Amino acid sequence: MQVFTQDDVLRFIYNEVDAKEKKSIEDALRLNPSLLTLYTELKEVVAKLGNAKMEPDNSTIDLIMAHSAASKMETSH
Amino acid sequence: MNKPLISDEELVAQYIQGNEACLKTLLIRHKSQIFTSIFYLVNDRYLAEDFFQETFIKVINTLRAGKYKESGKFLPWVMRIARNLVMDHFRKTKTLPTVVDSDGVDVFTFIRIKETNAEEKMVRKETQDKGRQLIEHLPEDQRETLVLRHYAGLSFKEIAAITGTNTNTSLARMRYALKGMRKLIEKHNIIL
Repeated sequence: MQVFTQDDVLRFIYNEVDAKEKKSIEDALRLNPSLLTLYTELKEVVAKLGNAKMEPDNSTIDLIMAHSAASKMETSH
Repeated sequence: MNKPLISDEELVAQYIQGNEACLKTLLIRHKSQIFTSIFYLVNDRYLAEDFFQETFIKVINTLRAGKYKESGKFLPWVMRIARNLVMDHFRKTKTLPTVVDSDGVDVFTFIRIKETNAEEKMVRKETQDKGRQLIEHLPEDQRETLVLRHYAGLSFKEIAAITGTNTNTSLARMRYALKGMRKLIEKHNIIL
């Protein structure tokens, strides 16, 4: 059986593996309890991080769009 | 993630040709990833707003000048600009975001975030405070890698290119960051 590292598991969590590698890692997770524990632990933290997303204020977006409009006018002159 | 109807590169090309709405689409598409990343790098909402604006002013000026050469890599390019602006700022001021305990969080305000009700506002603030405090405790290189991978959505290879390392180093930093955060969550019994 192919041996996978902790970094392979990390790439798997973040979908940075191709279809063939994905299938192999899924098989390895089913057969290797310590790899599955590592996956579960890392995945749990990753899931928790997802709750902390933020967005800029609308006024910041407006200022950026205003700069864009002004620079368009400058370019066309 | 679903493939968008119009790619970033198509939007960039149309924007360069004068379609202003394409910039708005790019902003809406990526604002959360970019802003959250900047925020977790600087630890200050108002500074993050400034850096977000400054980043896109650079983006606009570069696109208008016809100097955009990053075909297929719009988001990594924008994140590189943002990251460099943040690093320049900390180099000039010779400060880095410091670790503060929960009582020290005084300038962090969510006045400008739209919440539908008070309860949602409270829950959101608590979650973001906890997330921020956890990320602050990480060493700088781990924090940067975690932010660029998790919030900016860059690949480990792209992060390596931005930070001047290699993919294995990015992976190792991310692994240490996640394990470090897990230890903190367990140690302090934190619920996110």
